[in-house]
Amino acid sequence: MKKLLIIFIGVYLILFMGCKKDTAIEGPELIDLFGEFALLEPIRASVKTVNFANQEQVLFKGKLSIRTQWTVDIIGLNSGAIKTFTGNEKDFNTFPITWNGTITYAPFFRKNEPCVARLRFENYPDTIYSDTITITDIRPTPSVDILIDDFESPQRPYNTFTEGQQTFNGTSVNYQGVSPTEKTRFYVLAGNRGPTASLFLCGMNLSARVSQGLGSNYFSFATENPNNIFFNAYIYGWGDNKPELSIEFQEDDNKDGVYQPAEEGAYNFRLPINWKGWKLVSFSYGDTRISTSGGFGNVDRTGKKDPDRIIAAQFLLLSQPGTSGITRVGIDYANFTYYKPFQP
Amino acid sequence: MKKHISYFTCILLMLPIVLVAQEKKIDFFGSGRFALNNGSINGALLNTDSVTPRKQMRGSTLFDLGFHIKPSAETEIKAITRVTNDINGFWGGGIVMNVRELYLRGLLLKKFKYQVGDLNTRMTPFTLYNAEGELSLHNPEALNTFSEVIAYDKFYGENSWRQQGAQIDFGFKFNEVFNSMKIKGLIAKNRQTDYFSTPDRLFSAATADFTFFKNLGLQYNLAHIFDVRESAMFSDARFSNTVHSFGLTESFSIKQFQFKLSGEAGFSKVAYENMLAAPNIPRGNFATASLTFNPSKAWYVKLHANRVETHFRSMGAQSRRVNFNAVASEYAYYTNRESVRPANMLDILTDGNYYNLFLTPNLQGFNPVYENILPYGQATPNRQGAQAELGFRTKAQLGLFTSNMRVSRYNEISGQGTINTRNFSEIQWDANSNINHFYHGKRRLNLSVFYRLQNTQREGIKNIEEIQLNTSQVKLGVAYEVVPKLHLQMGLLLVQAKGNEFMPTRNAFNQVVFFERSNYNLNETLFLGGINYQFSKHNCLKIQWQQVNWNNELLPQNQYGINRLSVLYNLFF
Amino acid sequence: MKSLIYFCCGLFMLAACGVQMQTQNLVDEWGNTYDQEQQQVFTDKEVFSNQTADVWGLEKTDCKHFSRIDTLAYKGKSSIKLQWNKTGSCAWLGFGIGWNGYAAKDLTPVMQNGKITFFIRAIKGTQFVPTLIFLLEDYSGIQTATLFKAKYLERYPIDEAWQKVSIPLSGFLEAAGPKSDFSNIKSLNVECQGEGAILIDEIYIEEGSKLNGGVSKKFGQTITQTFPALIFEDDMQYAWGLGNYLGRNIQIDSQVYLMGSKALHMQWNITTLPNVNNQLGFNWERWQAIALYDSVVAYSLSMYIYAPNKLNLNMLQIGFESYAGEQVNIGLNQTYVSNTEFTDKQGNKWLKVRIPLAAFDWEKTQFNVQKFKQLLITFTQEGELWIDHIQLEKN
Repeated sequence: MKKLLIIFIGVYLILFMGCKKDTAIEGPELIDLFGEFALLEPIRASVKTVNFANQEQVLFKGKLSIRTQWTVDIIGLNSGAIKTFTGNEKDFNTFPITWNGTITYAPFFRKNEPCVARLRFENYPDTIYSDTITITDIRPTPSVDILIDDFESPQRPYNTFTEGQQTFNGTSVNYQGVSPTEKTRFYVLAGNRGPTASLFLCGMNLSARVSQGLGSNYFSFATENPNNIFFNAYIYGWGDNKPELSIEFQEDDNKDGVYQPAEEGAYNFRLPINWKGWKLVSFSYGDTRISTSGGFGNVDRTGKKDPDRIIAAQFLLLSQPGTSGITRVGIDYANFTYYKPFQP
Repeated sequence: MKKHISYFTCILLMLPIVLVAQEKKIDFFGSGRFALNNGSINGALLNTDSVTPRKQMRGSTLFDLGFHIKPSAETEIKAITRVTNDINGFWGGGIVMNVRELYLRGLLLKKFKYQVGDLNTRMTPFTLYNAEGELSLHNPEALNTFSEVIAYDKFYGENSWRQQGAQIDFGFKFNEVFNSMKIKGLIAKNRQTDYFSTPDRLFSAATADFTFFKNLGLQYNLAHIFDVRESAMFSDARFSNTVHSFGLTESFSIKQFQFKLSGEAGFSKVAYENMLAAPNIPRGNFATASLTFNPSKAWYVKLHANRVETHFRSMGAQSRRVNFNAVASEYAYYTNRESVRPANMLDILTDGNYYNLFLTPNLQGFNPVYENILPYGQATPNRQGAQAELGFRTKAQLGLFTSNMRVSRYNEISGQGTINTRNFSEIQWDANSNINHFYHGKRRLNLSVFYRLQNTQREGIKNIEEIQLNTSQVKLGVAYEVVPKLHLQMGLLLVQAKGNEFMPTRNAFNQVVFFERSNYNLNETLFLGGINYQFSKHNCLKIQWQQVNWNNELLPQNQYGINRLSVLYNLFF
Repeated sequence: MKSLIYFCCGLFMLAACGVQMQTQNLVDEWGNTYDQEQQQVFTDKEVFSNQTADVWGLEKTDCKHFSRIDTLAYKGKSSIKLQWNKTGSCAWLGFGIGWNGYAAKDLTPVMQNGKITFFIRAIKGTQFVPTLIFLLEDYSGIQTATLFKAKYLERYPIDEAWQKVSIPLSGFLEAAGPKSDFSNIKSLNVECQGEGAILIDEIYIEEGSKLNGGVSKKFGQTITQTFPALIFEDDMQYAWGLGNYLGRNIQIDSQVYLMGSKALHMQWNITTLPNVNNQLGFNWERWQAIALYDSVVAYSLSMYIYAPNKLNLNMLQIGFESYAGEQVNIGLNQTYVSNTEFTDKQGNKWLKVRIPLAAFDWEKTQFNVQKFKQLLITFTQEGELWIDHIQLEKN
């Protein structure tokens, strides 16, 4: 009997000794959902000038009354380069936005260029600008592991092909008012699609032998893990949401030096081009998918991705379904990096 | 033509049964029902609603025929077929036939009891339990048959859930100290695969019951729900929910007082594998204890304490009976926008559409007007508190007088959307009496009364965090035996709600992602009056006038009332 | 898989240690059989055992003295004592039991085959069949009656030894007039007529056996087909009248017997005691109503008697009684006694008595020969003798 009472009292005490509140909140904060939006502290930079060559950084701080989706764009006032940060924190004094001179959209920032940070909100019309920051020196252009092509050599033997709708398929210094992201040239694929025509407009195939000029048929990677090999390139969109770019890698599965499209695999990554300006695009080789076009790389002899057998990179311009007319895309500085995407 | 084929098939099937009946034991049972509702809608709503029909008549007949077959002393088979026909349109809605229940139960070596097919499953209030729905208790006698019909149709036994699978029971006898051990195991199918991306979901459970010293019971319960990944080859996603529970019961006496002590504690684990954006749900604990004692034969006192953490998940225990997302069978939509009409008291008490038949994986929504403290039963997560109950009954078998009072105090463990937590309090009282015994009347006169007041409070920023919600329920019932077997029955139910609340919206992972802000100034009344003729214990005819009025002062333009004449004939044999 | 293997190993170990498995029953999740679930099992069985809760009418008036006594009982500690003598001034005499707290009882599952059973005895001496009317009252006040009959007894008369009474509930179904609602029974009432002094105890409603189709064999009627049919040998299984009372001492004697191991020893002197019960009764078919295979004239009754004084034989009358109440008797005279003597182990001389059934005057009393109830031995005045091996034999 006594034991039972002790057990009962013990259980009772455990129940109510454990009756402390849990400080974690369940669900989104009510004040974020129903509270009034107000800019409590405007966005401000930690410095007026920054030298990215010395690995300096800029911290942006601010405070809102509620948690809401925001976007901070750091804009180069001369070059038009943009670095974009997004988030929904309401107080970024504690965890400020940190900028180390990298870009999201090309071109690159320039030396002695003034920049400004612009804060915008998804759910509110307000736009706030910070004070100007001057870049005294730019960040050194980081290297890439394998440069596929920077398209600076117009005489390079690109293998171009079309189904008759191509209007431009080559390198350009300034195509329709667009400048390259780096150096002097970039590659343009353009076509004119009729309403009932095929979605495919034109394409360009660049073999590893031509790209690397090393005498080897294949790209030579330091790792065989497709997830650790990143393809990077600057892609220009005209903002008309018409083109789709398919970046494809053809594998010579039997290593006979010849790619047989009906028997050997090709892995691609398709990008709907829905932006305006230069955008750095990155993806790992592991993210690519095998071609679904019958007779064009949809069969892989080895049944898996073999980066060391990539014999060529191919760029295909397609129209997005339901669109027609002039369709164009720009490509610059295509490269491979290992273990992480290219961070300019 | 189809009718003739159905009848012929029935007769053909019954022929071998009739032949077998002469050799083996076969028993027939079943039920029959005729229900007809003739209603009309009125109120301020009609001033702006030109779409909703003003009158509706709906009805149905159904007949359940059950077979109980006992091929041997150790095996029995039970099957129930159902024929239903909606009274719809000029030619009728057509007959629907289906198999309503089928199971095989037997004994193996008289040591193992097994059952395959339909199962009525129940464990503890934290592992597998069908908690009572809103407004279901302490109702006037006028509502008895309607609630019995719903419970029968939805297979609500004694807080059990109907599942399909297999179950086995066996036990061991030991000695004077360790008396016995009983083991029960079950596996049931909770969801059928689509063979592509939705895998099979199975529910498995086990109970081990140990008895010591004849009065001390220890129990372990396990409820485990899991997806069978290999049953859908286009998806690697997998969900599992496991609940472990340890229980204790002990009966003892101090002097002349009898005491019963019970307690249960345990925890739950939820895992999502290969699901996009799936969270990592931490372990959720729970503990409960209660003590019941009888100061005398007429009185009882019960004390109960509960703590259920925010992340405690138990699909078997937190599935609700009432589904407020369902659509009513009458006047389902209202206003010119054809919005779904919110459920009122008459819907919840008489419309089976609002009731779930199976377990649900997510925490379903509830209406705080009807229940805001424990909407998921005792297993409601994010609650801690205590209840005290006092009951009195004299000559209960005569129905002379019974009365109960209960006081509850609960609060949340973690705040929803804010660091502040809700505080709940409730007081409830009911009484029931056959008062004809007091004045030695020959004709039975029964009076019942029920009152409940719930209060929810939370501090915080006004209009953003602060909550103040008061809800009250009153139920009055009268039943008078006019002549033997014929009762005149009346009931009056009132629900009032005033204040505000923030109702959580949950995603597929049961995480709160939003709050719906609601204000209440609601008055609902339900009046019932009619006659009930009891042909026999399980055979009655009810003719009843039902009048419900729903008025939200914050939306006066949506005020409506529904008047309905209801005829219900219900028979069990 | 591993868990299952470990579990099975655990089970085997338990079995090997001699731990017994519990026997399972074919019940549902709540412990009910199908019949209980369909409420075909009657559960309100105990009407009276030791308590008098829900019993009314236990009082003393001019005409009755009904009470609960705690000194004598068939089982437990209490029984109900009923003493009454209804005269013209008395209104209704009786008592009632609401049982199960006056809850409405549904007797419909048991009305066809069930029975009201209780144990009865005389308070003192013997009691002839009392006039009792059993009534089932429903909640609307309608009462349905059935009469207490002698055939419900195990033996007659009612003496100081407890015996079981079974009153079939089907008797209520045969009552005339509007019947009670047997699904809504309030109480069992007993109306007492005439006079009586009895104790009753352990009143129960028992279920009868369910019949699996076909015609049920009616209990209570049988035909003796095997002869000789033994009526008495070493025990009195279906007989009454034993005991040592004032003026009579009738016992089973294992010292003096001719066949088997015992005989019936009768010793009486009732010359000055006219009211003493002077009879014994024997039934040879479990107290069922007996018909003989052939006509009665085809059979004889035989027995062996040892009387130290042969004149005592003249003090005996042999007779039969039917279930319809008719009796035939015949005096035991020399006509039926054979001259041959049979000597037992003690050297006592036994005589065979053989009475043809044709000697009885069946016609005079219009005896229903299809419903023999008992063989009666009536003794008068004074005497002592032993009787052994009573049987019916074919001529």
